[in-house]
Amino acid sequence: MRFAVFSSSGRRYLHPEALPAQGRTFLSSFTAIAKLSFDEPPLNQQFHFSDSLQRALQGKLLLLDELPFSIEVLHTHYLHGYIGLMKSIAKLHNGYVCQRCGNDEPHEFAAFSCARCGETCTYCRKCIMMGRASECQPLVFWRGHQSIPAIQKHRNPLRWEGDLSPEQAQAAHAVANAIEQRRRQLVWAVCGSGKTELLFPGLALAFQQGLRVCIATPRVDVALELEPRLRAVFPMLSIAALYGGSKQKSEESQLIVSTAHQLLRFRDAFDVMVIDEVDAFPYSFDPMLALAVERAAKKEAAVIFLTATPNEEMKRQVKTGVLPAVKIPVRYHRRPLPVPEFVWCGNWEKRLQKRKLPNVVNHWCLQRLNRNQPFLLFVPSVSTAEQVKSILGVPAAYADDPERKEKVEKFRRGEIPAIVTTTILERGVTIPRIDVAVLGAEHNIFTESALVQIAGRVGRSAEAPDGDVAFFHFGKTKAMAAARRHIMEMNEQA
Amino acid sequence: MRCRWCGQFYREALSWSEIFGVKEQDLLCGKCRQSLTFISGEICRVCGRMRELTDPSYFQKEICVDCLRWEEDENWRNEFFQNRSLYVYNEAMKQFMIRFKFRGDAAFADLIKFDWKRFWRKHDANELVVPIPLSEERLYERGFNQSLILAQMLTDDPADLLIRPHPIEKQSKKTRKERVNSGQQRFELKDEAAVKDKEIVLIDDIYTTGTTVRNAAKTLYQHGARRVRSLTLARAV
Ligand SMILES: [Zn+2]
Ligand SMILES: [Zn+2]
Ligand SMILES: [Zn+2]
Ligand SMILES: [Zn+2]
Repeated sequence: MRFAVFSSSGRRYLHPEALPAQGRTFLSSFTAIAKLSFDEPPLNQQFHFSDSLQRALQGKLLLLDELPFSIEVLHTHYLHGYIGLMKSIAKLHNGYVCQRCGNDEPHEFAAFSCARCGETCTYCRKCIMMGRASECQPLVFWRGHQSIPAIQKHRNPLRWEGDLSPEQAQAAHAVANAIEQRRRQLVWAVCGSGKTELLFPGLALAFQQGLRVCIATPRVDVALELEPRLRAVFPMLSIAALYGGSKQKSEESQLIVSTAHQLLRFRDAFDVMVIDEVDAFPYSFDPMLALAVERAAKKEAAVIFLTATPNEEMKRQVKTGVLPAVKIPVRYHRRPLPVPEFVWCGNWEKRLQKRKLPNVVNHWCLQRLNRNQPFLLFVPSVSTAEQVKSILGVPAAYADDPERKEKVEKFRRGEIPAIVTTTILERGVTIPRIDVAVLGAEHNIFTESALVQIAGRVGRSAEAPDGDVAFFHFGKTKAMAAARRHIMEMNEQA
Repeated sequence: MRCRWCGQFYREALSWSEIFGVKEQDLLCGKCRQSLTFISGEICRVCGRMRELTDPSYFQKEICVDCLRWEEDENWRNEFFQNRSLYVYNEAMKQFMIRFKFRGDAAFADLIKFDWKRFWRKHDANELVVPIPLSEERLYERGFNQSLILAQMLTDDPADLLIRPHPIEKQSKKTRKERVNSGQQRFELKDEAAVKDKEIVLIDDIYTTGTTVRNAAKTLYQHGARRVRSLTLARAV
C-alpha cells in the first residue's frame, strides 16, 4: 500500500493510493509510508466507530496486512482519529529502526525490490516470523477508548488450596501490593523457589477488580507449562496462551500467557504485566523484547519482574530505591544452593579433536557413571555436544531437538545415566541426587545468569536437595566468579 | 559471526569459498548449511529427481514414474522437457521456503547464492532465462517473485515474459488430468514474438509434480520456442 500526504487545517494526513483522490491536492507522490512525514488526525467524538474493528484492534499493534478490514473502513477510522498509522521501519540518519521489535542492528535489515511500493524496500529480519515489517507496511493501532466485553469482576476467582512458605508469602504480599497500587515490583527469586504460586493472591486481586493480566516469558515451554496450571486455579477465567503456532484468540481473554515475541502484537493492552525470566536460559530477555513488554502494558500498569538474576540496571534501581524488591533467597525445600567448584581442564577443544575428554572431566564423569550417579553435562555448542556424546557414549539433547522430551523422560526414569546438553532442560525436571557439570564454562554463552541457573538444576527435589556442581574451564571468567558470588550471597541471606 | 538464518553465533571456521577469485564468507552456520542437501548421484534423466532418495519401485530404468506419465500422455509427449534441481526439498528446505516465501524474507536468496551460481555455471547453455511468474494478487501479497530473484542472480536481464492467470480453484479438488490440462495452469505471454526459435531455461523455486514448469513450457512451445527446460532450486523427494 502506498500513501501520499495531503494538507488539512495546516496538518498533514495520509491518503492511501487504493482510494479515489476526492479532489485532494497531494503534497507528496504516492510512496512507502516510511518516506513520508505526517500528523495524527484528532479524535472525533461524534463518529460512530465499528465495534468489530474496535474488538479486533484495541490493545494491539498490527501490520496493516494482518487486519481483515477493507481499506475504506480503515481509512475512515483513521481520518476520524480512531486508528493510528505508524511507520514500521523508520529511517534515522545513521540507519534503520524497526518500530515493532526495536531492532536497530544494520545486519538485521535487508532490502528487496518491492512489488508493492515499486521501490527498494527495507525490512526487518529480526521479527520476520511475525510477518514482514517493511518500509511500505504501516503498523496500525486503536486510538479510541477500549472496552472488552468479556472482562468481568470475579468475586472469588482463585481455587487453590496450597500453602506458601513464609518467604513466598512475603513476596506474594509484595506482589499483591504492587498490583493494588499499579506500581513496579521486582521479585528476586532463586530457581526452584516456587514462584508461580506466589503470584496467585495478587492475580486473584487483579481479577476481582476486572483487570487484564499478561504473564510474559521468553520460553515457549514455560508458557505451555503455565497455561494448564493457571486454568486449574482460575477456572472461570478466559485464558489464552500465545506462542508461535498457537491458534488461541486473545481478543477477549482476561489472562494471557505469552512468549515475549507474541507481545510484539500488543499495545496498551494490560493492567498487570508479569515478566517471568526465572529459568529463562538460554533465552534471556532480549533487550528488544523488553520494548515489546513495556509497550504491551498500559501506561499506568503494575509491572512485576520475576527473576533469578536481575541485570545491572535493575540492581541499580533497587539500590537507589526506585524499584522495590523482595527476595526469596531459599528454595522451596529450604536448602541452600550448591556452590560451584571451578576446575581448570586445559584446552578441552584440542582434546576433543583427539576424541578424548580432559582427564579431570573424564574422571568426574566416569566416577558418576560407575556409581550410577545421574548427571547433566552442559557444553557450549551442539558440535561439542556431539563430540562428547560419542566419546562418553551418553545421549545429547539440544534446545530444538525433537526427541528432547523423550530423552529427558528416560533420564528421569533412570534409563539413561546422563545427558550432554546445550540447554537447560524442561523445568520441573526434578531428578533426585543429580550432579551438574559445565565443560567450557569460560565460553561467552555461559553468562552469570546462565551459570546460576545451571547450578540451580542441582538438588531440586526436597528428598535429595544436595548435589555437586563443577565448572570445567580453560581460563576463569568474570561471569563464573560473579555466578559463584551470587550463589553464596543468596545462601547467606537464607 | 552470527548465522544470517538462525541467528546463532558460530566460529568463522573453514567456510571460506572461492567465487571468481574473490573470497566470500559463508553466511550460514555449520548446522544450517549442513541441513541443505545437494542432489547428487544417479538422477531421473527427465526431472532430475535423486534416485537414492526415491523408492526403487518409482523408477523404470533411468526415468521416474512421474515422468513416465508425462511421456505417455499424448498432450505432452511430443515436447522436449528436462528439469534439474540444486537441492533436495527436505524438511529443512521446507522451513527455509516458509520463511522466504510466506513470511517474505527475501534475504534468503543471499544465503544460497554461491551454490546456486555454481549450479548455474554447470548448467548454463546460453539460453533465454525466463522466471516463472506469480499471479498479480500473489505478487502484491508477497511483494516479490522468488523465481525472478533467483533468475536475477544468474543473469542481469532475465526475460520476465510470462503472465500467470489468477488461480480460480484450489488445485487439490481436481483430478490429476484435470489439473494438468486445465486452462487455469495456462500461462500467457507479454511478448509473443520474443520466444520464437529461442532456447529457453525456466527458473522456479520448487519442482514438485512439474505441472507448473511444463505448462509454462507448453505456452512457450506454442509460440515457437525451439527448446525449453527448467532449473529449480529444490526438487521434492
Ligand atoms: Zn522488527
Ligand atoms: Zn515496499
Ligand atoms: Zn544457522
Ligand atoms: Zn522424473
